[in-house]
Amino acid sequence: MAAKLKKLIFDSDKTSYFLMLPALLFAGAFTFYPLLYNFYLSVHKVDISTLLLDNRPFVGLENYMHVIVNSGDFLDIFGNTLIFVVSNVFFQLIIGFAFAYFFVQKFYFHKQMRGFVLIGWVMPPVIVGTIWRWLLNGDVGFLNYALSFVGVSRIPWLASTTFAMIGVIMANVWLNIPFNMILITSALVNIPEDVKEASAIDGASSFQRLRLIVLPLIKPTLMALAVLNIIFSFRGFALIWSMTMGGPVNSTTILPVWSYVETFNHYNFGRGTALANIILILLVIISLIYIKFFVYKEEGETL
Amino acid sequence: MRKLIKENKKVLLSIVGLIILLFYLFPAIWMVSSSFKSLSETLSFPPTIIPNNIQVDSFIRVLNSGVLRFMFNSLVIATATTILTVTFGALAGYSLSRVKSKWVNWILLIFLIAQMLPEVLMVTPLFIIFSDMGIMNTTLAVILGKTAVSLPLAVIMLRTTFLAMPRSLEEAAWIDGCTRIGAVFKILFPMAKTGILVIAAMTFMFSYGDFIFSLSFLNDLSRQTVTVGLYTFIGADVTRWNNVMAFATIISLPLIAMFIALQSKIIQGMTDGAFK
Repeated sequence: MAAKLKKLIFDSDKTSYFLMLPALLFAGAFTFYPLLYNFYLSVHKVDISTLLLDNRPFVGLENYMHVIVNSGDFLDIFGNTLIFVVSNVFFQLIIGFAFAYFFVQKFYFHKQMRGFVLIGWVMPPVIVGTIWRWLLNGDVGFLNYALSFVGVSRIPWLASTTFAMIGVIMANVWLNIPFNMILITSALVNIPEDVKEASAIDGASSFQRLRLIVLPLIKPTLMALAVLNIIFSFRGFALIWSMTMGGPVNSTTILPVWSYVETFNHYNFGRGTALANIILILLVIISLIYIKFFVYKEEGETL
Repeated sequence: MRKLIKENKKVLLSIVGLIILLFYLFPAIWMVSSSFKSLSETLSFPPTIIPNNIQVDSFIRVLNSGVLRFMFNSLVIATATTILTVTFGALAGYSLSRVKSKWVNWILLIFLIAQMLPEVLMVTPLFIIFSDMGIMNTTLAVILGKTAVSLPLAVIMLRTTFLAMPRSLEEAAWIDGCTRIGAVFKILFPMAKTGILVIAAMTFMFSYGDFIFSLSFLNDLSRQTVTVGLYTFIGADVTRWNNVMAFATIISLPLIAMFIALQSKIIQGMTDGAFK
C-alpha cells in the first residue's frame, strides 16, 4: 500500500500533479488564508480588548466607515498616496528610460557601468532610507550643501510637512531606477536592427527617431512598467518608516503606512485590515484596467 | 578621419557615462565616505567627500554593538527562506509547466495576484496566525512570512524556465530506466540552474533586507535582523551619522559581494521575460 502510494506520487503519470502540492499547500496556508482572514478581521471588532476572545464582535462595515469617514484622515492620506504613486511612476519611467537609452550606446565599459547602477536596487529599502535621511539632514546634510551652489537656502526636508514627501519620493525613485532601466534596456535591445538601420538611412534626426520609432516600439514595456511601478509604490512602507515614520503630522503617511500604524501602534487590527483590504481592492482594480485595456489590445494588434 | 571622430565620441560617451554612474551612486559613496569620518568631520559644513582624516573608530564601535549577531540572524532567515522558496518554487514551476488542465491558468492567475501584494497586507493576519501557532518572537515566523511573499514570483519565473525545456528530455531519461521524480532532479533541475540561481539570489537579497516582518514578529533584540538593528541603532545614536553609516556599510557588504559575483546572471535572468 505504502509502496503503491510512493510509486503513484514519485513515479507515475500523475507525478507532475503531485509536485505542485508543497507550494500550493504553503501558499494556501500562509498567503491565501491570511488574505481571507483579512476580510474576517476587517468586519469584526478586533483590538486589544477582544484580540484573545473566541467570539470577536461582528461590526459589519464599521471599521471601513471609521477609516474612510469618521477618522477625518482618509482624504489627506489618500492624497498623499496619490502624490507618492504618481510621482514615483513618472520619475522612475523618465529617469529609467534616460539611463537605459544612454547606457545602451556602445562605448567603453557601457555594460559594466550599467551593471553597477543595479547596486541601488540590491540595497534594502531601510538602508537606502537611512542614507537619504542623512543626505537630507537639514543642518549638515549633503543635499542642502549642493543646493547652496544654486542659491537655495537650507531646506528642513524631513522635518517639514511640505518637503518631507519630496524627500521620501526622491529616495524611493532612487531605489527603483535600476529596475526600470533594466526592463527598458531589454526592450530597446529587442528593437530589430533593420528598423534602426532603415530609419538611419531615411535621414531621421535622433529626436525624430526617438519619438516616432523607439517610443512606439517600447510602449508595451513602458505601460507594463508603469503598472509595476504603481504596485511597487505600495511596498514603500520600509523606506518611509525608516525615514519619517509617516510624519511629520502624517505628511508622508500613505495607505500602507496607515494600515501598519492602526494594527501595530493603535492595536486596532480591525481598522488595520480594513485599510489593507482597501489597498487590495485598489491594486486589483489597477491590474484589471491594465489587463483589459493594454494586454488585450496588444494581442489584438498583433493578430 | 571618420574613424577618429567615432573613437573620440566613444571616449566622450565613456566619460559622461562614468559621471552619470558616480552621480547616481553618490548616496552609496556618501555612506562609505561618512563611515570613515570622525564625528566632528561629519558635522562640519561644508561637508567633505573624501574624509580629511580617515579613521575606523566607527567600525570598531559598530562591531562592538552586536551588528554581527544581527547579520547572523539575517543570514539564517535569508538562507532558510531561499531554500524553502526555491524547493517549493522549482517543484511547482516544473509541475505547472507540464500539467495540461484548465486549472493551471487559474492557479497561475492566483499566484500572479499574490505576487503583486505588498507585505503590509499580510503582516496583520500573519501576526494573529503565528500567535495562534505559538511561534511569535521566533525566527521561524519571519522565515514563513518571507517565504509566503517570495514563493509566487518563484513559481511563475521557474515555470517559464521549465516551459522552455522539451518534454523529450525527460522521456529519454524514463526510457533509460530513470524514475519520473529522478528525471526531474537529475536532468531538468541541473538544466534550469541559471533560472534557479537567479531566483535564489533575488530571494536571498530580498529576505536579507526584510524589515516589516522582523519589526512586527520579533521582540528580543538578540533575535533581530540587520534592518531593525540599524533602525534601533539610529534611535540610540541619531546625531552620530558616522557610526550609523558604518553600520549601514557593514550590513550592506554581503549583498554587494553577492551582487558583484552574480551580476551578469541576475541581469540575464531579469530580462529573460521573467517579469512579463
